[in-house]
Amino acid sequence: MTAALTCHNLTVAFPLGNGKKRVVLNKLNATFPAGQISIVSGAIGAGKSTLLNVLAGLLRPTSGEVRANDQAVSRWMGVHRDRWRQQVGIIFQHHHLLYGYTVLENIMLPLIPWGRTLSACRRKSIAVLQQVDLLRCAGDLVNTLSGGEKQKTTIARALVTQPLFVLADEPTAHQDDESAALVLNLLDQCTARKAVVIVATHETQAQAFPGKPLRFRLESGILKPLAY
Amino acid sequence: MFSTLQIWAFRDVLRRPVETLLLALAVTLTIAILGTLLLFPRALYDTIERLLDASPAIVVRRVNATGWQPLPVQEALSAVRNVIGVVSVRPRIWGVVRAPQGPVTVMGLPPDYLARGYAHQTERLPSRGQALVGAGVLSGQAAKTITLEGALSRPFEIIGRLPDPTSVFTHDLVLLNMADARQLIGLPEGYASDLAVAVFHEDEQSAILSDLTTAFPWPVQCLTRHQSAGMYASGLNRGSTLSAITVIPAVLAVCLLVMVNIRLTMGRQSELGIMKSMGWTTGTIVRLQLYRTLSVGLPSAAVGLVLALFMVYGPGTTWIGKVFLGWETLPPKLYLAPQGALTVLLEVAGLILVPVAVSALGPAIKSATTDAHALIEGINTQ
Amino acid sequence: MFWHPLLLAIFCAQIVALVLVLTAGLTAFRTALHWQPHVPDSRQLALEAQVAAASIQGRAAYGLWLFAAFLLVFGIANLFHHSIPGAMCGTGVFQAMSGSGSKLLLYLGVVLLLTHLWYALDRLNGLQVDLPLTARNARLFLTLPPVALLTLIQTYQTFAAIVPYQPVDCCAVVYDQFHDLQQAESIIGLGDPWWLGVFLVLSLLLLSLGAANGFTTSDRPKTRLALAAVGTLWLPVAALTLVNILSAYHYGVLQHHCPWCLFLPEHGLVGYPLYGAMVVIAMEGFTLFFLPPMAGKAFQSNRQVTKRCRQAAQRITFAGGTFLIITLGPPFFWRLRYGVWMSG
Repeated sequence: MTAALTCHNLTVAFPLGNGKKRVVLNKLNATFPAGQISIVSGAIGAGKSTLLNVLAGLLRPTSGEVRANDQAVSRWMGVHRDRWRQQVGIIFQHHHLLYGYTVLENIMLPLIPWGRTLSACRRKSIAVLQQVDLLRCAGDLVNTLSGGEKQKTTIARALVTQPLFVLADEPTAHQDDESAALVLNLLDQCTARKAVVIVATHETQAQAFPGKPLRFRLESGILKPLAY
Repeated sequence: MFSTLQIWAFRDVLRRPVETLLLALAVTLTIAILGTLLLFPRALYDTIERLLDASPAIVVRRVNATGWQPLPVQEALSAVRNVIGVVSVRPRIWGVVRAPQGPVTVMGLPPDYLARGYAHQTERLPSRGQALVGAGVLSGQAAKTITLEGALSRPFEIIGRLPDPTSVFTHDLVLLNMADARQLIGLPEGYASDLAVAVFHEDEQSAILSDLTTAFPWPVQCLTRHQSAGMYASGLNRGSTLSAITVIPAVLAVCLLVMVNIRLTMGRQSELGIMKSMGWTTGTIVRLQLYRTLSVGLPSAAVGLVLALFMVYGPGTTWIGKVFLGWETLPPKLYLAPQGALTVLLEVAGLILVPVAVSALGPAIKSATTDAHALIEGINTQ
Repeated sequence: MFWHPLLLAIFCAQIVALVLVLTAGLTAFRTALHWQPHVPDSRQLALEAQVAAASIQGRAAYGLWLFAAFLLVFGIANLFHHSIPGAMCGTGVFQAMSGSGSKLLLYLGVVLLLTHLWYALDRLNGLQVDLPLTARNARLFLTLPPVALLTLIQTYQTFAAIVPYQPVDCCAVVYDQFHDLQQAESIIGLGDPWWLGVFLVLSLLLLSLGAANGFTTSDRPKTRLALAAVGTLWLPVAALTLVNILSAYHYGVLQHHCPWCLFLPEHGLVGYPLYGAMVVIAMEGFTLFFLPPMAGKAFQSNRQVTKRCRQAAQRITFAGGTFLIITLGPPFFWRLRYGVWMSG
């Protein structure tokens, strides 16, 4: 699957516990094409992370669908849903690393289900660590890293399987200028191999992206395309 | 040899050595204790059955309204020999008399008879005035004579002890010369305590009972080997029932321990959520949990089973009779037959390992139907 | 009431299975009523999540019933008779059960057949992303809760009916089946040679049809149906022939028509592979017959259904072959050794 990722009437509502629900995404319609970075910006609490979670198959929508190559991937269940997630690389805003593990082990995590040998997983992970300039921390436990280093680990973990769909939530949040440029370059390389790249970020950081990314603004649960 | 997932699981287990060790210890001890509780009645029954194989197929006793009566030998022999299916008949002289430490069973051995199992273990049979004694008869004292009181009181020279592996049946047994036994019990000449009857085929024991009973001119009571085995089985079943009830809380405790352990240390839902977001399938997560549990559970089970085997089958154990059967005074040394051990060990392993494996799978199976986002954030969106 | 530690495991497994089936049954009920795969509204999406959970619960229940059934057979065949005076094998245990034992095995058989079919259909359903068989599978699943409950009740009643110290005579049960030798050598008026002939013919048919269906890539509906039909006929004939004729070569004695002695260690525990083969043939034959019409045209290509049917045919062939080897091997060895058949 290398075509676009589209949302059809996507609605996500969270129960508030008193019988009411908070609607975060409200019949959202959008298309995110392959080979181009799509930036989703919006205020805090607008639902950017929720949108990425739904696109990544981590959260089921309340109604509506996410389609990839005309298949309703958001409605896939069981092993099909797991296989959809294997095609997605997600960079979390809050890292979500395994704290009892080393950096290298965290990066190897997406490779284990693919059935490769342990040494092949290690080689691939080390290659990605080199790309994000974090090789020196390979054997360190994750809880000893700085915020920026944890972010790089998350990025490396997301990209180690060379996914066709890359979803990044605030990928440059804890990075210095040099590291931020490295991250943006890596995301750009993903578009070069025709991956769908969607980045959720604040308006100010959206300016730094190279090329001509597609821009959207998420407000009141609706996604509006913006002119570049 | 091992897959990547298995190595990953094993390294996971080693990441938390203290918790792993505690879990292993709990599983080992639970299996050892339960194994002992369930293995012992079975082992005892198998041993009794094996020893009963050497006993007569049918034992015939003469009875009247008051109970046991001496049996006239010639009359009995001629009656029994006409019963189809009877191969041989042997009159037996035995009874219960008083010894210094309490009542004992005395048995008279004819001079031309060597009991199976004794022949290669005893040097000589007792002559007049001599006795072979079981381990429990002398309370462990190294006496050279023993005074027995029955119809009369007589001292006997002790010429040897009966072998320890036969303790279950010979613990309180005294073997005497036939004439001495007859005098001590008070049996007149030409009479016997009962008849030991051998049949052609094992299954004929029950089949010829009615013919055997009607062949005698006086009332008799017949006891087959199967009936004896059944009586022991029923008695042991009561004990094993009580033991089995202890299985319930033990299994529940182990399951709880495993679930808490898994939840706290190895299978935090957020970790499962992160794995799912990285493309781990439910099947992979379930297999990981299974490998984690079995890498601790299997070795612990093996050690526990070995311990149970040793406690039950360790040669000459006496403590187990004291604890389980209440044999306070000089419990016999037990040399138990291991034939039925495999069945019981499989039962124990199944009773413990299956719930442990299922408990470990609980969190993983829950993750199969919960959104990865909910697992990561620790919220319930169902 | 009769008690044995193994009964605890059996009851636990059945109770947990029943709870799982009841829980999943609620979802099946909702699915049967409200399943609308083309409508991505909130009710449908929530139902889809519940269906995934129900699938896991159903599979776990299936595993538990298989486990409980195995333990039950093992207990009846090899353990319980030690605690019942006069019982030497499962026949004695059955005698002590006062007729409830057969009913229990029947209920368990029905549960396993239905669950096995459901499981096959569920696996097939999961192969396609749009879960085309969900509604149909849910309706099938709704047959399970009542049967599961009946099975649990029957299990309890069966063992409650056993009076622990009341002796039985299982030899009497076996030998009282016939009054003379002629009766012993015939089944419902037909002689042993006739039954043996029918058994051999049906076995050959079973193996041929099984091989024809199991080792081909094309779909053959007619031979598949024929295999299911032959399997259905084969089962009672094989059971009668085994117990009344061929078991003699395992026992070393004629006219010992006992189905349970085959499970004993002194006869090499051959009862397990023999009756296990029959169970496999029954379950796979049932699946082979009902799966294709239930799957219907729901699948874009019939390939997956054909593959499952091929698997079923292969299992039937393997089980049938195993059965034949174990039942016919001893008679041939006997003949080679002694130069005559046991019956003369």
